[in-house]
Amino acid sequence: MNVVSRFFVLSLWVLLIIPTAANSQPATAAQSSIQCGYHFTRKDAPDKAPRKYLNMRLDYTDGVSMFYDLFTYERDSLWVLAFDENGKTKNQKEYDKILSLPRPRLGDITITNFKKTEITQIYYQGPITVRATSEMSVPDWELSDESCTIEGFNCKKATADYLGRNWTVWYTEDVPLPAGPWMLWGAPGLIVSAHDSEDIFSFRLIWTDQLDNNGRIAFIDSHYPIKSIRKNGGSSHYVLSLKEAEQMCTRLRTDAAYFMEMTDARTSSELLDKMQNNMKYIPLIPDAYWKGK
Amino acid sequence: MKKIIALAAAALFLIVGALKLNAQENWHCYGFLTSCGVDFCIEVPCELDDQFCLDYLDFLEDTFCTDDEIDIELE
Repeated sequence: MNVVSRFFVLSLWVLLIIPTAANSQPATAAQSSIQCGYHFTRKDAPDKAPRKYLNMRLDYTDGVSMFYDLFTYERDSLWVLAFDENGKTKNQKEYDKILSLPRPRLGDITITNFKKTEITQIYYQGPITVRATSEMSVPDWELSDESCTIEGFNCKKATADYLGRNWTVWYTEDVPLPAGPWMLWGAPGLIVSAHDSEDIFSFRLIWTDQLDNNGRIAFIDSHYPIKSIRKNGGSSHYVLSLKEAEQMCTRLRTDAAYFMEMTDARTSSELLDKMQNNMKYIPLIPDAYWKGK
Repeated sequence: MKKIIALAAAALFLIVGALKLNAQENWHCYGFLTSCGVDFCIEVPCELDDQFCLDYLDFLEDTFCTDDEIDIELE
């Protein structure tokens, strides 16, 4: 083989190896965008088996993160295609796709803006949605020397009393972002795992990757308006303080008569009782936290 | 005079009662059938749009059908 041929073969090998090497690197601190997959489990009652949300996502880009259920995002995307501005079906095919989306799916979404230091919570309760924006309160994380490996990440432990619960988190400085699932944030690295002391709620990172679509946050932010909307015969949207939003949603999820009243609907007492018996819910921020605030 | 006032008051009550009864007759009935077989009927004072109905069905599915859920995870 002459020199030219050897050079050609060597160049070919270099060209083949470099792309492969780049793709195999995990998300690093140098990246400003990342997406993560999480599992979220929650109990609706202390004695019930937890409900599992296996398709949670955390998108982080340009100082803003969003924690959401992938199928809720898909539902909202299809909504725009399926319905006109009057709530009438304009595309039956897209409407049918919404019906076939898997369950369970968490309708609530958390958007954290680290640049503006504010958190926006969106709550979905059927025909009622609520939006609340609040200044971020920093959890007072007590850092521990304990360490372990979770999903290939070197993790350290931290605990804090935050928003009415005692949280234990494992964070990784391998991804030095202050982000995490739901409203958990402010650790020295990405929060990989979290649970409360009563074992009602747990979050666990499953994978990380480059962000494939940096438009999801802006889409969701615009999909839930910053003004209240009330339509006769249509879905309602409320914009409230975080305290009011949390209390309203807890009531919508535990009080059947209140839900019927807020949707201007009535039903038989038998069906109302049946609904009430099935309405079990424990909020991430307990009711007691809001007393005196 | 007192008799005229009493008759006028009675007539007024009758008119108000009739109006309320008439308003109640404008309620619309909607039935929902969830994937787990729960049949739920509601009455509302005006016609509902399609989006509201789908949202309502979403709520009923979350309320009644959680025990039947199968864990699906997208890879």
